[in-house]
Amino acid sequence: MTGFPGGAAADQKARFQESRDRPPVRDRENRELERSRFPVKPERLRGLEGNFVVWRFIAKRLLETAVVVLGVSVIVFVLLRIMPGDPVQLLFGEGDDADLAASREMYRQMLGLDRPLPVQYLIFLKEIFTLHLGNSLVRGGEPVIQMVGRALPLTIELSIFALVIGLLIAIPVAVLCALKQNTFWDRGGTGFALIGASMPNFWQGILLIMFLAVWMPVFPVSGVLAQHITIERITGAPFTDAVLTGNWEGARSAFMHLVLPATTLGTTLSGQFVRVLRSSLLEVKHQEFVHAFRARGIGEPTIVSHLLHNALPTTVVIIGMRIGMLLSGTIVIETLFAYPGMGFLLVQGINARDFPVVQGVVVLLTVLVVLSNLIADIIHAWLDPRVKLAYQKGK
Amino acid sequence: MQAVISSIGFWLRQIAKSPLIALSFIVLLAMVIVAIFAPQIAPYSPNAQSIAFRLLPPGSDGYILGTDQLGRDVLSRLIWGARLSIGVGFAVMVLTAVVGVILGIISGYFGGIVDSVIMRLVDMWLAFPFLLLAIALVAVLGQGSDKLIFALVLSGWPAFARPVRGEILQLREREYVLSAKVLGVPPLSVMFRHLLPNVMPTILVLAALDLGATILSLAALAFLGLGVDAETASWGGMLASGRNYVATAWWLSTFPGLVIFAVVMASNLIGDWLRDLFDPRSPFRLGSISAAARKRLAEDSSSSFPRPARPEPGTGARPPHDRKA
Repeated sequence: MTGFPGGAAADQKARFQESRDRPPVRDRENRELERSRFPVKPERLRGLEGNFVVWRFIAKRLLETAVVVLGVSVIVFVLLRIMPGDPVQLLFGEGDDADLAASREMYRQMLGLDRPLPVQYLIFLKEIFTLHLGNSLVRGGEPVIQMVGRALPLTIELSIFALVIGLLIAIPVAVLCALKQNTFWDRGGTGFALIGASMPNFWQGILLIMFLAVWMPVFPVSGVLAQHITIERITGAPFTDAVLTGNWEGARSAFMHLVLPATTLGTTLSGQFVRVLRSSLLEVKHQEFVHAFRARGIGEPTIVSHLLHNALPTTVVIIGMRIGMLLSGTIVIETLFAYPGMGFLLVQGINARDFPVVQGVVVLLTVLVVLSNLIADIIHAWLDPRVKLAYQKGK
Repeated sequence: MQAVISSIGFWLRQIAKSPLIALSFIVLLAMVIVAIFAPQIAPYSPNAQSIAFRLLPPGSDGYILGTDQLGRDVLSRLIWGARLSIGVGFAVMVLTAVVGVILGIISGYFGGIVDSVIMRLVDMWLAFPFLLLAIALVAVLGQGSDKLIFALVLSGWPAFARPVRGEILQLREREYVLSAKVLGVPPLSVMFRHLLPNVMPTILVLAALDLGATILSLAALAFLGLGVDAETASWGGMLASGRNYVATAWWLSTFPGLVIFAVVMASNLIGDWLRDLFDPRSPFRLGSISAAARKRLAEDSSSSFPRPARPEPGTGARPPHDRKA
């Protein structure tokens, strides 16, 4: 190529060089098209105007969330108070002794059930907002907020582990599927996603226990920590605390206990993620900028990273929406692995007819889901300029 | 009559095109038959206990899938469990669809304040994790399949209401709806005679997927010991008790899990297949596309030729042909 200096070849080479420096006409059109898709560049959106729009979007979403939380509180209240099934009746069982009438009445007053419903609802609202969730009826009257405080960090840690495992599985599979659409790889990937979505996660958990804890005892069957280990409490999440205090033996034990439940939850999630991420990657895959990249000989890894970047906003929203599913999953999986998080607490509360505990857990989990949806939407707005613009236009 | 027979033939041909889908239909059909004829098919009573024959492995004399910790036949309990799962599953599917579709059509057709109220209600409902709502309801209501059905329908209806409403919003501006209105057709008739058949594809897809989701959550509830008493044979309950014998009796938790998995997988596959069938953008859609055309379509969608960019709502994107405008 570099053979003959001067003459026509050099001229041609210079022209080639020039054409590489200056985008060709066709590409300029492409950029115009890009600009019409993303009418304002992201960096410009970080300016004042963009921020204003984002804040307005966030304020609107906050207001919506407040309305939803209020509605949710009504639903929970109606569900737990008006439905057939008197908590005091459930607590005392069927026997109708005259002697118990007084203590029945006492419990009724203690739970505030003797007051009119609207008053009960207001008290209920106050309790939620001040986080006074009442006392357990069973465990020596321990405040529910304390029990939840012990359980919540465990559930959050487990969920984060599950989320990470889910993404670690889903991203490579989805990229493979999207790049090799309609091939053997794609079928395999989507088949995997379908199996992940159809498999009952508690059955998968039992199988994992069977293979990896009983037949090949690599991981512990259940619990949070090995018995002889104690961890200083900082956040309440065992693995995090162990790492923070430099207790490596504790960290290892906590990690080993997390692997099976987190994998069980993570694979179920990854099935869902693969489906979403694959379809949003496929939508991005046919956009002009990808062809422009290919035409210029840009390497496949770079292209994949651009594809992922473009598919990310949708995926974040979907993850946010799946938090509810993840938490539902933890209810079952925590029970299966005797992992004393929120789900375990809920099921125990139901079995012990511990009404305030059930109420506290249901309210807190739901608020958690609503908040994570909100956060996902806000992250989406930051990541994807189109949301802001759609909002700007649509208002 | 002729039309019914020919449309059945048409559907059978569609199903037969894909072995996996045919298999899915066979699995579901077999489950329905097993559920209906459980008393005739099951070799033993689901609750017949015999301590002498407890924890027999599969293939033992007379017990094809072995026995559980109380000496009950696993196969018989699976068959009776189908009665509960399939019965509740289909009941929930139909009732959820009816409730959700009615609310969705009303919401989409009338719009305005009715629409706002129903949709805010949907928003609130969707804020709950589905299983959490079902668990709370079952915990309050107590045991029994009627209560299970009630709890699952009450927590699941927005899954139908929202997509149906979305479809209706598009359909109600079509000429045939407008002309029906102009001709003085009463609203109820417009909604259920003219609009309903047109959202049927969406409803079918949702229903197939809902069946799988319902059976999964039913099993999860039974696994947690909610809604079903320990005596009643249920797939989830069998898994829960099998969990304690993982080390010694693998068959107790393996077979119920497999059955749940097969049924849920079948209904998910059918749901996806129906979606492809009705989706005009899919290369597998319904209609008389020849095999060659379908192949061509598949090649097109996988080729690296740029497809015309579809404008996305609210982005201000222009279609490529007026790029220079």
